Amino acid sequence: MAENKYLTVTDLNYYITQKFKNDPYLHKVFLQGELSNFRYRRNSHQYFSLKDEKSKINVVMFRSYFDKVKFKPEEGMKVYVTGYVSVYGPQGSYQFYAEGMEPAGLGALYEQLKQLQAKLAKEGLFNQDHKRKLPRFPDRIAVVTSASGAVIHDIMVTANRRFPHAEIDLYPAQVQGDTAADSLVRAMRQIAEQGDKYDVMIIGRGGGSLEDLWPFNEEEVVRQIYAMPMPVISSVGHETDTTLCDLVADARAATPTAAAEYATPNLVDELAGIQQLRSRLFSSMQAIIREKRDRLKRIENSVIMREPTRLYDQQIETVDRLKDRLHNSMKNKVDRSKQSYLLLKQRLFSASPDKQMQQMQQQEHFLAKRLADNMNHYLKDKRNSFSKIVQQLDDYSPLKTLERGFVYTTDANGKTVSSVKQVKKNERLNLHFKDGQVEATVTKIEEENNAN
Amino acid sequence: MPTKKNNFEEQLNNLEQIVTNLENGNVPLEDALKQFQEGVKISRDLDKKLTSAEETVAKLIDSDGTEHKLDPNNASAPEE
Repeated sequence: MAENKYLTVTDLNYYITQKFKNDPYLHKVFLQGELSNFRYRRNSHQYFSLKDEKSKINVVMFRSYFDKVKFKPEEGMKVYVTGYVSVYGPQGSYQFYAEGMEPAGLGALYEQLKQLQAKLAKEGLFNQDHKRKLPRFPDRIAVVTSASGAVIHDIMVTANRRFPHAEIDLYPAQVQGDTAADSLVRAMRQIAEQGDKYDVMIIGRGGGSLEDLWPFNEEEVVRQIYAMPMPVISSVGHETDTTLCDLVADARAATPTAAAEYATPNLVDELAGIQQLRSRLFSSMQAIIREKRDRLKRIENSVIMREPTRLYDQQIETVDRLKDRLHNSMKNKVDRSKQSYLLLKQRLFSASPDKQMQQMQQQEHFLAKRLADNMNHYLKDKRNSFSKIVQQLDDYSPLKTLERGFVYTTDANGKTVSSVKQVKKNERLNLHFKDGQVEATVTKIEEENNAN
Repeated sequence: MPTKKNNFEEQLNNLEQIVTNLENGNVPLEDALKQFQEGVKISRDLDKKLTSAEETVAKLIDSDGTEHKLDPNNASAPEE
């Protein structure tokens, strides 16, 4: 340093930068002023100036911070900015690096808004789990907005283009001014009273300043939206203007047209979808029929269907086998019976009474012969003795006496007369001689007592 | 959700269910035919419902309930 006491520019700027950095007051500066040289650069950091009656400072606002600004800065607008001061080395200029910006004069409103938002958030009004699903095919859409604005026009045109089926009922309300909040709540209550007549509600308003949009941040309006029986789509202000209305609604649309699009299906798409479903229906039905027909064909072609006899082939075989067995066992039984019959027959024959009969016959012959012999003997004997007795008898016959001259007398009845007492006088008597008879008449009877 | 008066969405779901069923197969033929007929009927109904309305009916309803017709194609709404 001794030989060269001159600093380089870079060194100096570096030194000054360090000074700014180390200053405790310049880390967080709250600054108010009028916007100057503001030209909006799209998708970029913003460069502008802040000034008052006597002075001016260059301001840089990086894009990430500027995106969070909730209003549209305009030339000449009074704003509050927060940030820090530092040096831009290459230019050797110090500038204000803004990190936040609000419109001046609205500070109180902003504060109020933030407090209300925090309170309602704590109560759960913005909770995601309260968000309801939008109906896909609304029959009726209730709209709360000004009757004269472009909002209702955009909604009607869009709905008509996309889904004419939906009926749109506009409940006009003031969307600006002190009485707007009451008017909005009244319109919504009128809708809510009709129960489930409406499938969805759109609450909308065109863009405007924070004050213009203020009714849509009023607590009663927010609570009424929360209490609506149907899903609510909010389209308030421009995309950058977020109201509590947008936060509490079930869906937020950037524009009224978008709101109407959320609320309605695209008829063409839906019809195409239905057409597609129908063609899928037809082709799947055809596929089912084809599949069933194929199955039927397969079944018809199966062996069983072509040769149904196969169904009972086995049974027939079983029957045949059983028949054979029946036959065989029957035959066996018959054979066995026949055999035992033959055996018995043989035994019967061997036990036949023939011999005995022969024996008995022989004996009978023998006995018969003996009987005959004995009988002959006996007869012979008897005949002999009979001949002898006949001889003797002949020898003693009265006829022999007759031959010797004796006569015997019989009466008329042939009765032999051996006594005179049997005879009466004049009775006729027959006198038998050896060679004939003589009839005689009794003429005299003389009884002799000494006879006999 | 409030109770729906029209069952359009329900019908559409039914139709989708039927188509999915049929596409998955395994449906007895009688059932399949029944479902198919049902599906055709639903799709016709849906078609009719969607196409029958040619123009959105738009009305303005006063706080006293009086209805005024609005032309959906015309931006100029009645004066407040």
